[in-house]
Amino acid sequence: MKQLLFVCIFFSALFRSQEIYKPVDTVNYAYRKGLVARFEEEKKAFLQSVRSESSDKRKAYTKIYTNIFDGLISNANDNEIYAYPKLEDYIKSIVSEFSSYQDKANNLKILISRDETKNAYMTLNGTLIFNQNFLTILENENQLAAVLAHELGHNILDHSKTKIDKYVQISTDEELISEARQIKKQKFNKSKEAEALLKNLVYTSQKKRREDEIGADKKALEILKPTRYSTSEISNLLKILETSDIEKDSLTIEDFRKMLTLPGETLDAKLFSGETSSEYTSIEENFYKWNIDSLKTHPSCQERIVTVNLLEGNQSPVFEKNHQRFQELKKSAELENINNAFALKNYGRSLYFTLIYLKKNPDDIFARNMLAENLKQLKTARETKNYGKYIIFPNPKEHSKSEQLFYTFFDNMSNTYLNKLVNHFTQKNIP
Amino acid sequence: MKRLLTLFLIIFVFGNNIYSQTYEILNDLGGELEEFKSLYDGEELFGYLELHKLDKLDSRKYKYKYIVLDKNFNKISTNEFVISRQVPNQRLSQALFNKGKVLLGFSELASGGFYKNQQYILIDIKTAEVKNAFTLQNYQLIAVENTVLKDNFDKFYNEGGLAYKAKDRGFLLVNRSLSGSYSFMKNGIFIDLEGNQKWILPTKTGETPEHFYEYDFLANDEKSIALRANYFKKKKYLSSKLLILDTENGKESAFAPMDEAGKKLVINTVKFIDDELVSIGEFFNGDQTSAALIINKLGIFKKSYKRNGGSVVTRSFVPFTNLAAYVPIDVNGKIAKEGYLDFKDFEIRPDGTHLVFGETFKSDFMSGGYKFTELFYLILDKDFKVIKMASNEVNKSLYPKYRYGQSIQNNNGYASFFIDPDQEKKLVLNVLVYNDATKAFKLEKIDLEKKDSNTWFFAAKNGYVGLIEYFKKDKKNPRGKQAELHLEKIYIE
Repeated sequence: MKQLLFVCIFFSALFRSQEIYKPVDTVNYAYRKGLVARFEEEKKAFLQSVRSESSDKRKAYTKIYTNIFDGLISNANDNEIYAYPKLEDYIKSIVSEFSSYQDKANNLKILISRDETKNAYMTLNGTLIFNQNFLTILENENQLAAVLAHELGHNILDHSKTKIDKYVQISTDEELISEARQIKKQKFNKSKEAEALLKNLVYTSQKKRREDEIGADKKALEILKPTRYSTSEISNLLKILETSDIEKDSLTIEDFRKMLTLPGETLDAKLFSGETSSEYTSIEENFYKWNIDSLKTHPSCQERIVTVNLLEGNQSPVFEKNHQRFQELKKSAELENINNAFALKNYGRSLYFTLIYLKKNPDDIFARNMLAENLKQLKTARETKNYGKYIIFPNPKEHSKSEQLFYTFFDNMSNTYLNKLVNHFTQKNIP
Repeated sequence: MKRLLTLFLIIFVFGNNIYSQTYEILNDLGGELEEFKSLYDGEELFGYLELHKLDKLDSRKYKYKYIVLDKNFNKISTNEFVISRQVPNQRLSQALFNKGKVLLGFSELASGGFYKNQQYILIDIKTAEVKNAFTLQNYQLIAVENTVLKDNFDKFYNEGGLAYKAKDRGFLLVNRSLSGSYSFMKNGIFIDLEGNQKWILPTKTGETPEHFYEYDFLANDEKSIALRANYFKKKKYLSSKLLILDTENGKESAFAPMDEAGKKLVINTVKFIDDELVSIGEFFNGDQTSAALIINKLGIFKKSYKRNGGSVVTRSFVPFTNLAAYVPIDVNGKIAKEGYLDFKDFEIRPDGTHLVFGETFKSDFMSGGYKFTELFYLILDKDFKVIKMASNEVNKSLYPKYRYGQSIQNNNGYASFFIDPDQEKKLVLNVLVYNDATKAFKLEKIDLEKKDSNTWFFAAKNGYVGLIEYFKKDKKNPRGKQAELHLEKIYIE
């Protein structure tokens, strides 16, 4: 009996190991069409709602609403927002726990984005856009609940609408317009005067944005407090966010050699060396030399942790309503992200994520197929002179060492070797 | 890459955050992007210079902001500076990079259409320090604020000028002479990289107000600067000599004849290679004072001179008749059915092989202008003997096709860029890639006009071509991408 059980477990494990990941449907035309129609409808309603405003205010509102909704329409058409019912339903089930703001929570519309940035945000129309890749850094469902509570906090506090109202108010302010006109008329020192005026406006606006973030954190704590979710996970989430940009699965030269050396070939060290680093350092100066800190829209995570820790939360332990679903979604998040980057035609990024995944899971068939598919796309891009869109120049200020190595290696790779790689991985993989 | 131009940054980054009514002011604030120039370090692209006109401080002063970007578009230096001007029309005429410094030359368009009042700004890229504006007046290097105007009516203090670079050493600043030809320069002062005067370009023995030399630039390297000394008698140009000066002290190392008996010599490419000054160009019928008319062309030449002494080391001439084995060409370079052969670029590869690129054109009755018909390339060995001449399959156009050439992949090859309409009259960028190892060309094509975008190109860092893709408006994506910039590597194999 024991032997039989062992054999069953063995074959089950073997079967599972051969399972190929199936990404979420990438060409859901009906969903996209419906979404675009919804955004068009909402845009119309918003534009309708400002018809009774004065002419200048109406113009300002129309401009900004059009801008926002056109952005969403583009995202839907570009396939950036996509149907991922399992994740949407899961998020809805978590949000339904937020009993203190039941109505707001129930009315929240959830959309999933392929954007690789680990982020979530509220839009004007009460829609929460959750970037699928955010899941890769969250440790448990409770942290996801903290993210959702923070975004719901923005919604409850009506931050998007307030920001727009403020924008309209300032842009139609008689005194300000008159001041601006005066400056325009000036013959000399026009720029100096304009800078002083603008500086004040921008600093005030960015300060308000930072205050909004702290406000949403406080609201998140208020939302989570009466639920089964632990409020302590807000601080833990912020700690994770603080280091979320630091890459943990870096690729080394050895990794590239291991994964991409073809039989009978060697990868020359020269392939990994880029331009000698410049003796000039790039500077991060905003155009007007203003105080960068004052221009930041978000307070630092450390500052937010301190604020949240001062508030009284609940004493609940970490809670997960559906541990299995969280683990399932989190497990597939990396592969989904590879597919998402590919669907968005970011072949360089998709290949990079693929290599990182293959380093940890060298036998994953889906990732190996994606390796072949991305290489094929890059080969085509070289032929059509679009390669530089995907394999960009490494910039120490923007890219991790691992990313720099990746871009350098693929920039240096000869056409012949790229073709060989494509053939090798295409033939080797299972369709 | 994301940095593109600061101008784009202002629009995209601030555009969404800033209040609309003040947006116009913001544009004023960012300053009008007056110039965007490439900076070269020898034959290699170093980076780019952006110049923004920020403010008019009073009727005689402008405030500018400069930004230096490296060849990958990273901002590496920026600062503001103030310069004065005498007449309203002032422009940046030159931007020269030299060992961590950038020399900016400003000139003013005076009445009569001449650029005058040449002044300079010297920038230290690392420290962003800007040296106060200086100029050349009466054979002296002086601060612009100390200049003396000729008179209140003309409002100028010099006749305009130019700066020439001496690699890693400094700059030779020269002014146009009022009594001279108005075409070439004299009155030169050499400044080091700190802007200090090192030596002056001396007057030659025997020069008088009526018999004098004026100069134009030929080549430079760390050791020497080569000038062509044009001899005038009462503003009449008579002959040319080669003048080579030591960049350290201005000492003359060569002053030798350049002219050819019975021929006019038009130099296209000239550079120092080891101890020689190598020049390549075209011979025309006549003498050095004759006009360089296309119907007087005779062929291509290579002449090398000793750096010390200026004696001629090699002199090779390939008359057009030598090309008759490849194309039906006459003695003046007219190819049957195609028109006159006009040379565009001459390149000397590290192994001594010479590449020459040219295109043919002929009068076009329909447009009243010219029709550009064919593109040719020549490969010549190190002794300047023709190995091959071939043409590219191109379509006729009403514009010249050849654009520029550039060494690629660590100087293991050379790419020559030309545009050509395809069968559907859509513009295509052609990259003719020469491989030093195989001594062969291959042709690559980049479509510039596509269904949903138009692309334009620019000379990027060596080995790459810069492409800016402008996307057409799409109803489905009202806020879709407007433009995208990327650099494409030119692969040899």
